[in-house]
Amino acid sequence: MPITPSGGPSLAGPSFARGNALSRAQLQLPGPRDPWTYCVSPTRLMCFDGEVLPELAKAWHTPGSNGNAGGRGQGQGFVSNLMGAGFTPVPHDIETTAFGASRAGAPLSAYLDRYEGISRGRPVVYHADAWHRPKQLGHLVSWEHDREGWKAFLRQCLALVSPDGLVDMQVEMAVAPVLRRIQAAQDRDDARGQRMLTALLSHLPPEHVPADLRDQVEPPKPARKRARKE
Amino acid sequence: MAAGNWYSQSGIGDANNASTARGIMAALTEASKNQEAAAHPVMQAMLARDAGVGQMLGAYGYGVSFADLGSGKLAAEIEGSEATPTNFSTTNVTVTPARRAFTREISDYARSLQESLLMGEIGPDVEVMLAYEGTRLWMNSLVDQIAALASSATNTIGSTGVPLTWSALNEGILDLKNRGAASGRAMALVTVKGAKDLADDALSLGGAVQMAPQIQGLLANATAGAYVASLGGVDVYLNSELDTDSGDDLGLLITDGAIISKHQQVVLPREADSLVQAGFYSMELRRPGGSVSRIETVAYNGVAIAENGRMAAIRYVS
Repeated sequence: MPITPSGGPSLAGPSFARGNALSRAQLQLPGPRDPWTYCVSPTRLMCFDGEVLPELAKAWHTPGSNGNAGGRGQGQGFVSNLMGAGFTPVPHDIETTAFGASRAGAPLSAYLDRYEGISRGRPVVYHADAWHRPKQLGHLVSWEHDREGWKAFLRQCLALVSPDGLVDMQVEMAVAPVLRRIQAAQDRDDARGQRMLTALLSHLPPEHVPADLRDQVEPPKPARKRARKE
Repeated sequence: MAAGNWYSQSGIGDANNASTARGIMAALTEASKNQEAAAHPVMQAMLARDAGVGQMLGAYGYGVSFADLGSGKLAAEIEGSEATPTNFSTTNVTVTPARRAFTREISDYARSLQESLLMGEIGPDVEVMLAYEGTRLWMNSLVDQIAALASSATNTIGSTGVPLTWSALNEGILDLKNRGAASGRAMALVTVKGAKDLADDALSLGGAVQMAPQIQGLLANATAGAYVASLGGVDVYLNSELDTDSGDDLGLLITDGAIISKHQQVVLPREADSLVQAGFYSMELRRPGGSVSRIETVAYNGVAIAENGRMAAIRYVS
């Protein structure tokens, strides 16, 4: 689905000024970034925070990129190419929630925001997903991330291509690479290997954690209270 | 007898010219790393094919068909019987060039660069700098366009939420070889975070890996520019055009033939005030609407993933 209906409003989003500190200073942005349409595939999956979730592909709206036509379009060529590779575009009017608020009626897209600011002294337009938002402190900008909201969105995307849940093959496609990385980390007998192991285990679904590592992910059992000796 | 003033009593303080002598140099920018990426043989081969196709002669795009040839094998057939024909299958890729432009105002340039030398005409040195900038702008755009394709690569090296490791990259290269794509040069673009991940990981490994010459290449070399090391035949470069994706950096590994580009050369007419006509891009001076003079750097180009098997995204925590 196109980001806006044909003949509808252009991609011009809200101006960045919304009455907060950002309106008093020019927003420092990483650089220009065009809008995109997320595409989801039932076979491009990853383990993320203990869940199997889709690794989304971005179909950029950039003219001339991966099949897009020369004029200002909405990524139809790019989307078409990804559809040929088994992807499904995620509609821009899907119901989403970011930072605890519904995105219904968002001016640009349910999952994209448009920011205007400067980068290296030059005015730029930067698009970000709805689960990242800039927070300006003086001349510095940090980006807040709504991780839970993002995961909820990924679940929604997965439901578009796997409405009846995941089959074993899909789970294995997501889990197998992480298990390989875990084995590689186990082969290292040093603190770095242990750190990698901990990080990888935090993403693996608990039911797929190898038996010899279960004690590393299971919460410690509460110790029994002993009667205090007088 | 009065000897008068010492001749050395006055020096530069008597100069009437309030301006100091001024040289002009291009300022340091991290975008300079794009020059090295653009000069890699994989990119040069892509551009050579692009140029070899020539002008599009009125077509709106350029397409390549990839025919599935040579993947089958002979099947056992009973003598005297005919084998069933196998249909050809092709995958088509189209690149549609689009206009990209970057404009400078000459007066702004003169103010910024010539200041005390401002005389209404741009001097030859500034003209050269404009041409130099045009080349850089075009290269930055091209590398940016290609780096953006990482998020739609169907093969991924590394995992979300964890640092990049030597073993992950090594496995990715083996997967690339297994897809039949490892012939010729390969280039990887990673952020500095990814390069540090790789170096920290590989240099802390013991045994043969730690001592391997290619791993020694990960010992930082301040004279090697953006080039980091050649790991398993993949030339790894630092780059700042790479995309991010929900907490991860997205690097890119490409081999020859992974990506195609097409540039459409726009031939400027004789009456145009052309500063540079470089084929892949042009620079034109003009005064739109009788206003101040502007110089416009323009490229008509497009890029597309030709064959996903020849490339992979490199994913690691930002």
